[in-house]
Amino acid sequence: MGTSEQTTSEWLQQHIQQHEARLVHYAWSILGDLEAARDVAQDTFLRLCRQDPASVGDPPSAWLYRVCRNRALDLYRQRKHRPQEHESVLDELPALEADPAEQSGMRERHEAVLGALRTLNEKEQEVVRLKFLHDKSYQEIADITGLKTGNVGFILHSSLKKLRRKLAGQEVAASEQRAA
Amino acid sequence: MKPTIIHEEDSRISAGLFDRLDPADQRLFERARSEQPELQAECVGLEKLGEELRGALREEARRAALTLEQREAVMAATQELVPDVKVRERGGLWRFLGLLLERPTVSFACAAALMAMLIFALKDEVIQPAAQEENQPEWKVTVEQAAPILDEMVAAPGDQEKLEGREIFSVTEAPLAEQSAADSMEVMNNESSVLSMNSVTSDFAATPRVAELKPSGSRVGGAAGLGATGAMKADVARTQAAQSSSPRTVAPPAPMSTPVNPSQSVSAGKSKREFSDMNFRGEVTYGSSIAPTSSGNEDYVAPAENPFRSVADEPLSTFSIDVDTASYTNLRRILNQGQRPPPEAVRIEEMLNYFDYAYPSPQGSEPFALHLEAARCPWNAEHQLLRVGIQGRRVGTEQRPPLNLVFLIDVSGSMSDDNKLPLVKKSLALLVRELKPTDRVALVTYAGRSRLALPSTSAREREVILAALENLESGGSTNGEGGIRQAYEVAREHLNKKGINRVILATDGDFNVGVSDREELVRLIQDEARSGVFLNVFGFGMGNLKDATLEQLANKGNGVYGYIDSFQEARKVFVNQINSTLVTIAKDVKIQIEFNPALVGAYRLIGYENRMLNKEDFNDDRKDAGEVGAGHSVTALYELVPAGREHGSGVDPLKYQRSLRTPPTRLSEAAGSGEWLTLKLRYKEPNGSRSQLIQTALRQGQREWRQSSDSFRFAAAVAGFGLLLKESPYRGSSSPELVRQLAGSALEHDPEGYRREFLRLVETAQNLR
Repeated sequence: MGTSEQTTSEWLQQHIQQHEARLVHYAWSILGDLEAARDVAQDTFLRLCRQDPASVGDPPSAWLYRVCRNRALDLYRQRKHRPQEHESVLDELPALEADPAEQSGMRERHEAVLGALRTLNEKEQEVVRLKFLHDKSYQEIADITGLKTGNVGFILHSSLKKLRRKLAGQEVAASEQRAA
Repeated sequence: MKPTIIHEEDSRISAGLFDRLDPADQRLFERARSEQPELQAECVGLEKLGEELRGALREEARRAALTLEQREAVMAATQELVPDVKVRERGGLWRFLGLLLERPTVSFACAAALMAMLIFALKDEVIQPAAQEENQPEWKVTVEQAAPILDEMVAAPGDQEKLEGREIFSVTEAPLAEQSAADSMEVMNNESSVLSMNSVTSDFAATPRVAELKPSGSRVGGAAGLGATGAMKADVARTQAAQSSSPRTVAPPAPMSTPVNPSQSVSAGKSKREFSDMNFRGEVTYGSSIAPTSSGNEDYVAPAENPFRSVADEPLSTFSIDVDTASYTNLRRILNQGQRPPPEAVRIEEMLNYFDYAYPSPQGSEPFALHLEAARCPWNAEHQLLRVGIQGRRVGTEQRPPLNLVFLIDVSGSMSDDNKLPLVKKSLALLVRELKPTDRVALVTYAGRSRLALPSTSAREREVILAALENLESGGSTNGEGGIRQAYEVAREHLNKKGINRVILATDGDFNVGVSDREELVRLIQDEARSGVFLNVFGFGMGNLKDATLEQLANKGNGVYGYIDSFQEARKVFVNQINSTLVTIAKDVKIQIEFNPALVGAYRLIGYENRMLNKEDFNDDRKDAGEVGAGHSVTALYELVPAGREHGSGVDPLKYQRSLRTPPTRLSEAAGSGEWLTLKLRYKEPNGSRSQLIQTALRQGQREWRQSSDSFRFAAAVAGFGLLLKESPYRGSSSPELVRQLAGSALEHDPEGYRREFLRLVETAQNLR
């Protein structure tokens, strides 16, 4: 477990800090509700603290994602319905620090990309997020979602194709607007 | 050349850009990319989109965080450590009980499952009421902390249906359940209780909804029990299926206290995906890392381990020898970096063959001496361990034929690390200093394109060769194939029919750019080997190592694959063992052992999984097999089950036959000779096409392992360590302590210090646990 000098507490703290934002975000992407996502992430971390570190693996990322996902889906199922439209986290959340995206004027583009992403179905969104936000390999995505590795590849590829078409369409529309 | 059109809908495009393809697909993809401009444009677009997604999602995630209170609660929890796994498991059960009592609405199935758990718990007397006081306060705290979400999460059974039609794909409880199953099975530490629990609970487990109905707050306890049931049922079923479809294999003895799926070992043709599942399961069971197969960008492919085979059904065991040692040096590198090697990177035969066992040299004209020794198996007292040792003729530098060497050196950008090109230069400089005046060296480099850095030059001009080596610099992309073609051309121009003609490839394994299919490359290498130019492959560095590809290339090229992780290793390969490295004394070397059913009931060859041959292949001279260099030795270990005991460990007695064993009437007179087995070896002279046969038999009394030779015990230590690193279901009672005991008692013959280094490595691995 980590370096030999590190205590289990330190090990836990290190990994919780490292995964905090990503797990909250991951749960949020499943639940569409930030508050619930925070609860799920918190609960996942509490479970991590209670778990025997030897059964979790080091680093504990795979375990954290799996538990977080299961918790989020459990909760999701308990609810009668879920908000159809995701609110953008960018609007919902206060910035933690100065916003570099704002400064460089990239926020608009980010919004467009995220907007296009939200038009995909949940399965597609989840695979895309696990790949590009969480940097998971196909194999890891398969382990987290229970999909077959080949299927992960297929979903990712078709999702990217869809996104490209969507974004290209938006660009054309925008330039036509400007021209008009 | 086949046309390589990859359609834009082909998901291999994304896999190639954002994940890993297998090497053949990767090459196809790279080639298609260079030949299809529209594919190239597509790739650029997709990569740009990937970058945008990364940026946007990170931006979005940057703001997602816990509230301050939540973070404080979590951080407080990191301080409240639970001392012991077993105690926690009991706590889980009591917590589950507590929740059940709190919420009488939870369905009957849960109560039934709980009863089943209690039955097994009481039977095993593991869970004692005293544990309740110990743990209750702990769960109270955590339930309070998690209160807001637990309230929402308590199961309302009817909700399940409402999900249908949604596009959320199936919930994978399995890994979690399996993990908990592993935990709870640790609690009950004998096999009989596993079986009895399974029979008690099978009725409940048959109800498919059971697993869904648990209150989620109780998962640690409740799901553990249910998961264990399901997992064990599956295992039992799989084992039965495996046994009925493959009667020749005997299930491995399940090690005490650790649940192992016996069917793991039975299947020969498992897909990679299935393999990683098994591996995942194994890793969780033994409590190490969860990540299954990937290790950075390094590729490892591992075949299933050889099972025990019944001598009555399969008296012959046939395999091709392997003198490669790359796996050991690679493991050493990974362990010394403070990491646990992925089990797939462990090839036990390559670990065994790294070491010198000081076998006596052959007498007379034969190129090989055969040595057999057996003793009680250190990790399974019921079994015997057999060591097969084959010593090749040693050749001194004076007798070495003239060398015609072409160094083919990867100088692409990825080679710039200290342990790559700089180490290649130092290593090859060592080799150059060992050359005789009659030897020749040429230097071909490849990056984006190949270059003749030094035309074939006599070793008399050593300084010229060394200067050319020194001038090599890295940079650019990789085109392995172009380089290989040019290297073979140079070697053929100076072909010495009476000498040794070799291309020596030094690379970090990245053949990514421009190489057409792997098959074509393999065919080229095979053709060249037939015309007398063999290929040696040396892997350098790390992080990019395509282990399986390199091994295959060297095998097809009648050459050796080595992995150079340090200057020390370079000295071993290029100075101490230069004649083994370069002088082939025999090719297509195959081994066949016939076991005597009167004494041996079943056997298992440890390692050599990718070297197995059919029994007919042994006498088939067209069948390619391994090469042996001068002074090389080959060591193989078999675990033997004495006659009459082979069916104790997993196969039921047959209903319609008296015994699976051969009836005595079918045995020949030789069976009564007291011989355990006969070892046969076939080889061809390096330029020969007809094979020669050497054989010997083992006749020996029972012997404790402590009475065996030093080198036998050392070989056992190496195999035991390999079984541990591989997390093999056949590891029996192997432990780091046993391995150290075995190796520590065998240090007398250790001129180069490799055995002591092994011992240190075992300690390093132990500290990683």
